[in-house]
Amino acid sequence: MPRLSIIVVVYRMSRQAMNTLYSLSARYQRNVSEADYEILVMENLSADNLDPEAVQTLGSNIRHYRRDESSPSPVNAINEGFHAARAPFIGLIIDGARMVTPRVVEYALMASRMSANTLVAVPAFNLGPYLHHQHLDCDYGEIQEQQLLEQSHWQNNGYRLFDIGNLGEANPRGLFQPFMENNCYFTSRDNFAAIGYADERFQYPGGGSLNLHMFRSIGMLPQCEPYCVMTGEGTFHQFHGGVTTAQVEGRVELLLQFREQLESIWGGRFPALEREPFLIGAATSHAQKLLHYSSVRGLKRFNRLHDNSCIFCQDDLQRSHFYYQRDSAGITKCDPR
Amino acid sequence: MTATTPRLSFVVVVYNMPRQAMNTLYSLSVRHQRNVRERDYEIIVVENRSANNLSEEDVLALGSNICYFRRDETSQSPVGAINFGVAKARGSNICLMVDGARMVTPRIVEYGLMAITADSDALVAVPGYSLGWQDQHHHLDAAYSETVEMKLLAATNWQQNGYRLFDIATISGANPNGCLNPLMECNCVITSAKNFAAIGGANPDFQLPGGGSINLHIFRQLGLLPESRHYFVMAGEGSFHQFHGGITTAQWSDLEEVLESHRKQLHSYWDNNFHSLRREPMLLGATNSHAQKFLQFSSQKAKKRLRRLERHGQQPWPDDTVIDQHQFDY
Repeated sequence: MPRLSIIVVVYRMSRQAMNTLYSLSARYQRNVSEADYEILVMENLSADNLDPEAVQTLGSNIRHYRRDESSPSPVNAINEGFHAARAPFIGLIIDGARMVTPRVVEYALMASRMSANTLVAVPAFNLGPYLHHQHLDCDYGEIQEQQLLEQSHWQNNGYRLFDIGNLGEANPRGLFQPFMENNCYFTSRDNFAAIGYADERFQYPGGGSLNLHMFRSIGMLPQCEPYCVMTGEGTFHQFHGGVTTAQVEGRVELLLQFREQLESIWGGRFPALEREPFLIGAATSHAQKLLHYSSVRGLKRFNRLHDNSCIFCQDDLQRSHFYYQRDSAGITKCDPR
Repeated sequence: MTATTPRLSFVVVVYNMPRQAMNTLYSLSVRHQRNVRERDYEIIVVENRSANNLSEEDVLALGSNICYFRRDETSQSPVGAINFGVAKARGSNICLMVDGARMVTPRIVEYGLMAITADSDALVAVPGYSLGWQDQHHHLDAAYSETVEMKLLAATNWQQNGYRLFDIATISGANPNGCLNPLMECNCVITSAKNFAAIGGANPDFQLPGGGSINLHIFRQLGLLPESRHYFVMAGEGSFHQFHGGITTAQWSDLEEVLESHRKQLHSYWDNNFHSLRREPMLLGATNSHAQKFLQFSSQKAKKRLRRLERHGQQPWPDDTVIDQHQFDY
């Protein structure tokens, strides 16, 4: 029985997803074996599907589900993944285009041993020198990215992804800034159950703000201790013309709709998760500059909040006041009032 | 004493420093440590008798998980006290604090327990700092004294929030490049009782005053054990040295000579090639607002070191390779 299940959602990005799956496989992940974890690939069928045989060659701990899905949202695929997952600790990668560094699995398992209901976030970055939603302005695309990846020989040392990546828009101020969302996080099945798994109201393309909603909902659970952030690991977004991660017409309007839905559910402003991050893992030579940058920005943030007499990690205090109720199916749903 | 077996035993060696040791013991007690209970750990205080002893009653009043031993010791070295304390320890893991003058921050017990839950043989280092505004060797020059330090401590109300110790401290001379560079020594180090036995305990040959370099010797020995697979550093916690006129932590006219005798003895055990522990540290725990400036310092120094080594084509963590290849043999 695996101790960890990782759900990866894939849609119309076979080349990128193969890189992601390789980066998750035991060939590349260090200090873990196939028996320790399983990878559940939830693919919504499109004109560009994964080759099931190629997926299977990556390891015996990978299960590939091909699904006909009429919704543009990954929400059903995710919930099917939860259903198929066998381990008590689950990781969710909502965007299959995100490659990971070599000790993500080891550290996730380590964190789960330290505390069964921890939430572990892997910081998110972009491949290439530019923000992906500005790719046209920067003349950046799949071809340039493939060249970068090839030159880096990332398969031999996945930390080189830090050398060819940029901070991206997810956490532009580094690790000590509250995360608005996270694209690769791990927590207990109990915690996913406590928030009612993936909320089916999120039916926008790509799920809209589903990921933000789930991350904050879990982070606010009273039993969710501690909130870990991997110091020297990362997920790296490959360019693939995603819903919000490419420069496409109507992107701003779409993001506005996503935000409106989120704010209607949360009854107003949706804040980033302001919890004190518990650092876990080594900062390799490749990620050291990031740690330094983060500590500079972290200190700046602390000083600013101190000068304004603000609380640093207010969600650590507010979590105990969070409100929950059981729905008719007996699943504890979070009521984010 | 508590009836259940604690998982982690702190061994604190004290000699001729009751005021400082009381601060240390308070900082280790559940009154100050967060998110832990008395039954989770025990504190074994081993005091070598001097003219200036702890009050047993005051020590025991700090918690039911504390036991106190006063011993007559003819040697000037703490080695006997260390091995005595470890023999008394009931936990499967030990936190060794050779110098009882080191106060600690509020989550070292919680994080220590987490680390040994992840790997029962983990080696866990709590970085050391010095109280005051510069390293205490120079206290005479800087007009630093016990009185000044007591005032500093009183003004911080550290008992309310132990992280404020970072606000009145400076980087320690032992590890001047911060906690992400190889550590030369560690004065608050967690290991398994099994691993401590594997290095043969504290080597009784180290009989120089204060034990000489026994602490450096132990730390490197533990770090090179193949069983110490995970090496954690608590980047947001610390142990803070209080001024007490220790052998190497105060200004003596013959300090250089003293240090030279320590170095000589140490190198004789390591084929004249003693080195700081060059293993990649895994960070463990939160780094709060108080500790952030030290993390900034450490990460800057680490960045610099890593760049330099890369330029010269050198491995940053050669002692990790030693572990991998199981080349190290006692």
